[in-house]
Amino acid sequence: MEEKQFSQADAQYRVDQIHAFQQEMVELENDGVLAIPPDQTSKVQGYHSQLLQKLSATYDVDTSTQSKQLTLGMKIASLFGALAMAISIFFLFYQFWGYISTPIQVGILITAPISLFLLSLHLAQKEKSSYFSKIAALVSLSCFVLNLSMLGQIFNITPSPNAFAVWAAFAFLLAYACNARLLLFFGIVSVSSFIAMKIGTWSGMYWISFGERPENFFIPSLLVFILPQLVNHKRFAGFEVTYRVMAMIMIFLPILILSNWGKISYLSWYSNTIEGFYQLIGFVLSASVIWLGIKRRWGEVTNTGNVFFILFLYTKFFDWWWDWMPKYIFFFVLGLAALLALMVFKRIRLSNLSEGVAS
Amino acid sequence: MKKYLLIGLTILIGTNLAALGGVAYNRIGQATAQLTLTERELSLPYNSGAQKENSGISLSINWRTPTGKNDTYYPYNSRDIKLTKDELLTLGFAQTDNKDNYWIESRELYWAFEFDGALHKAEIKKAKVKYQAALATYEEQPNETNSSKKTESNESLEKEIKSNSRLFFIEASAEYESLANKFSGQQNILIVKGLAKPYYNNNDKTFSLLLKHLSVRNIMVPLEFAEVMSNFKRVNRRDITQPRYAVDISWGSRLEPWITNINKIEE
Repeated sequence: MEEKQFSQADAQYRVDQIHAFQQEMVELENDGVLAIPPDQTSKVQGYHSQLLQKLSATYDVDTSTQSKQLTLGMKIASLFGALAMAISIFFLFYQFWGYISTPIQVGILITAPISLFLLSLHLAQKEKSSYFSKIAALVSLSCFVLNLSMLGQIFNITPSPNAFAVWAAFAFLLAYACNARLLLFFGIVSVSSFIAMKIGTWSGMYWISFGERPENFFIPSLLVFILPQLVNHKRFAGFEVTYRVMAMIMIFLPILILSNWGKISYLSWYSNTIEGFYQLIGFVLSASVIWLGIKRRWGEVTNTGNVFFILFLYTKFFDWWWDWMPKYIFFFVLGLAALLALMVFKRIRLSNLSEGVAS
Repeated sequence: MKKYLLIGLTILIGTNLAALGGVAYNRIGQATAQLTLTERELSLPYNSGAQKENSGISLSINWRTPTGKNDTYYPYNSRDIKLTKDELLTLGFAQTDNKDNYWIESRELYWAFEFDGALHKAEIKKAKVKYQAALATYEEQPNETNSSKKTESNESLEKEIKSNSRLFFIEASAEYESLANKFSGQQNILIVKGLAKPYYNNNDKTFSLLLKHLSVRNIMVPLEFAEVMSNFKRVNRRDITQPRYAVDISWGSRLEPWITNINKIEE
């Protein structure tokens, strides 16, 4: 146990498992189902307490409910701290750069992300919980964003989409080095924007207008969804979930927009045909990902699929009935649709439960 | 961690080297254009809101489109130019006259400008004609409406002579070479990149091109020239004032500008 054998999430899972075991043992003893001799009980307790101490010392896991709540508070504080510091650095530079000569401006812009990057790696090695390394990493990324955008302003450089590619590369690197999901989020957003910009450019548009054709996001979303299948993320808690949820948002939002506004599609059909086509795609795809999520036990996939299925359904209801239906009937129909969905989910859940009991 | 360190440093240092290499490449060799613009063409930034905290000075480039050949003087800057369908197709835009699919994206094109040349002289001439017509109408019928028209056209003429931008858009092209060849040897021509979006008017079946903005809209003032500008504040658009500074600017091989000198203009 001296060296890290598994991820912090695995260690936390083990701790939770021990607590569940202890609670269940008490219940079994109280119900008279099981009576373990005192010497064996103390042996197990001793082993568990030693293991908990080691896990706590090596992985900084939460060994009680109170410490879990405090950890959540610390996560929120570090997120806000990191974002506020990143913004502060931007305004700090803005406040004083007019009094600095160009070579010094460039020097500061280049050294700031490098030094913060080195600090974040150093902290990631030293810290068990890596709160401070994550803050340093996020500030380093924002300094790098500032670095390129300010070089652009200082030297009047024509804006280029390539900046998004290097920001994405650096964000991914920091995310994996510091095990930070927020940085992974920025990495996914940057790389997807870059791919969408490139697709837009190939189709003839100016890169910054990439959002004008929502279909530009289909390929990046597919790549982001597939990536966690190809790379093992066992050591990185929550990374697979982040990839999949982001990928689904990036495919469903464009479909939702196109299903209501067909004019902005690449397809050269009539708007109504395009809208109908994307409505159909939206329903089929969201139902498919709900099925996939249940099959592969990806809770986040099922939930995101549910949200978008309901969004597609409700926007369609709005289209059909909002204008001519009395509002109390419209909302009653929405309520009925929700109840119907509830019944469907209940049936699926029951069949899953019976499968679980049988296995 | 060593792996992360190496990759991270490569990204950070490599990107900066590429960006600075691009700047050097732009400035090495002969400049594609060298102009001395004044406050008429280069505005100071606004000093309000979050901008108040910005200690750097960036000058924004003011450019205009000329009044149409057969039109009377128009004091406001329209950024819409009339084109034919073939001209739009030559610029690389897709078919725009499809009633149900008018959503056409912007494209980055090369724009040619003329600085302080025939187009500006023609504009002054048109402003004079308009003022003289307003004056004649007022002398014939001296009422309040004609009086305000006379004052307005007089102000427009004065602005045209003293404070309006002399940088006029001539034409756009999908290729740099065609513009460079067309205007070769002319010292007052500037070719830069800008964003344009086509429109199709279904009522009168005409095509137009909206000139959205230049790709590089602002020019940063380096510290060594900031002293000259330090006491100046942005002029109100309605004020008619003589320009207070002249800025020597070069445009390099990537059509990106940089300031080589700034002088105060003494009154």
